[in-house]
Amino acid sequence: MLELQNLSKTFGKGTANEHAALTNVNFTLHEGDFVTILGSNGAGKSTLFGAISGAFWPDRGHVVLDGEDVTYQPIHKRAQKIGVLFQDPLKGTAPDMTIAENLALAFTRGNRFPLARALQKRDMDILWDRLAAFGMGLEDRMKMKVGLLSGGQRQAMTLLMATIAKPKLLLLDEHTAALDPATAEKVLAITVQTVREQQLKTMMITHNMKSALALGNRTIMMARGRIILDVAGEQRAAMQVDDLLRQYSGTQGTALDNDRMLLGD
Amino acid sequence: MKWGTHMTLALGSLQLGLMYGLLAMGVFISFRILNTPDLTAEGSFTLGVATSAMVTLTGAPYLGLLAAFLCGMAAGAVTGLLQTKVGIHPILAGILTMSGLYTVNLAIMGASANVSLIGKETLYQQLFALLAPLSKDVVKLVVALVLAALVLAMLIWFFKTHLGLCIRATGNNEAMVRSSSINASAMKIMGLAVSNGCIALSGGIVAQYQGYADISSGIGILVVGLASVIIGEAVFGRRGVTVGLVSAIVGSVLYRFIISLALSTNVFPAYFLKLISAVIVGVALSIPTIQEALARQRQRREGKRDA
Repeated sequence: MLELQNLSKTFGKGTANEHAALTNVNFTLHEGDFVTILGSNGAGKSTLFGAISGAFWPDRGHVVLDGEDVTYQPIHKRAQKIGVLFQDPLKGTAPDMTIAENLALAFTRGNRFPLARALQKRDMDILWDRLAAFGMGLEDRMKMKVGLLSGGQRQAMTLLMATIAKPKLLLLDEHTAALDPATAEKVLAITVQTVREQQLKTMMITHNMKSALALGNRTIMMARGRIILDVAGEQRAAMQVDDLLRQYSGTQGTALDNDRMLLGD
Repeated sequence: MKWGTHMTLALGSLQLGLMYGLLAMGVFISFRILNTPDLTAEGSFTLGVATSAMVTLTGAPYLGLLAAFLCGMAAGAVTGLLQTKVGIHPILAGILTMSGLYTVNLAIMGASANVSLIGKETLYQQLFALLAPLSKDVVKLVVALVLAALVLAMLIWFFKTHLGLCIRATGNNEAMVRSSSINASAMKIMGLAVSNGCIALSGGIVAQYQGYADISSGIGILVVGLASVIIGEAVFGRRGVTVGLVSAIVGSVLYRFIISLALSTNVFPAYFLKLISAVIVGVALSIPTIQEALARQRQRREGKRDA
């Protein structure tokens, strides 16, 4: 279970650019929850992820993951429990290292004797199987440098690296937004497959309203640093994109404004 | 020039090239694997020279090499701490350690700028006696060869371990490592420690080889290391870590050949050495930009022709 308690974060305090990115956010993610997150530009979606993953500390409030307060834990400690994917496919892999070396790094998650051989046959077999399950043909290119792969292939690799040692939480920050539509669909499909197989608690920021309603079991919408809508179950099943837009302008008094927002496909 | 003179020159270059090959591998680690130019080298090389010489004076030349390596590691760790824990710019952090080391090195050498090992039990003296039937030049070559091969093998192994992989990833994509379960700061400190350990070990063996320690041994040594790395890459290309380490040693040997050839044919006097090294590195590092400019020029010319 992930609990966010009264999270607040203001950037540039005391300057002309002061911006309240998060204001008293309270949120609970239950076991097996796959929540999709929508919101306008600057609504605080990525800030929320930053506070959870440890990119920065919130001004107030706590992040509690499976009973442990991780609010002030250093990133590299937290990263053993939380997998994160960003929009930029280049961010999650080391380009001059091979596919096998990248995967081996993620697989052990720092739990191995430092001077043990990094690429062990036993691990390689497991990694091969997991990569093969993606159906991208990467498993036969284990000795290839990751820098030679396409953006979609690198994002698929990053997804595997984030989930290969089962994390307690998976954060997806518009991880298909920089890919072409066909590739994005493919990466999204293996994401859903991975989340389902491993029963991962997942939070996914998306700008695609239709997939926000179609994927996962719960949808939240953010505006001005607050969660303004949280729907699940039958209520969500009955919802259309138009309902989301109406909800937004109803509470905010302005139309939903996101320069990348896709209303349909 | 006689054939014999050529052989002596070639043998000397090979010996020096292999010993300075340790330096080249150290520089390869900081410059290519960690992706930071580390100026600590100037101080840690002399640190190795000084430590090795002083320990040798107590009658333990092999311990001298070990001490040089460990002291070099400590110096690298200091630079790493300044970079990561205090957030000082990498170049400045190296300069700070280098400057501080000047005093440390003088203190190690008993406040004198020069310590002679002539007539003392260096590891060469011991081995000359032990391997009496072999000529001194052959013994010197064997020592250099064995040491270089040993360190090379250990580094190749090290960068295939889990720790080694983490260090490589830190130099390759820090953004990725920062958001992963790897402690990026610890990896940088560790990498710089190993790098400077090798550089100091190089100084340590050179001191016993030449039979003296000099406080100014390290001046310009980073450029020598960089030149070796770059010459090696000109031969082997830029490939993985294993090839890179091997090419650093080969580059170092080639560098010594070039220098000794130029010196023996009186192309330039010995004091030109540092300038030549700097020019080699400067030119090699500007090749990508020059190529780009040439490509742009070509494109413009073709564009004009089409118009």
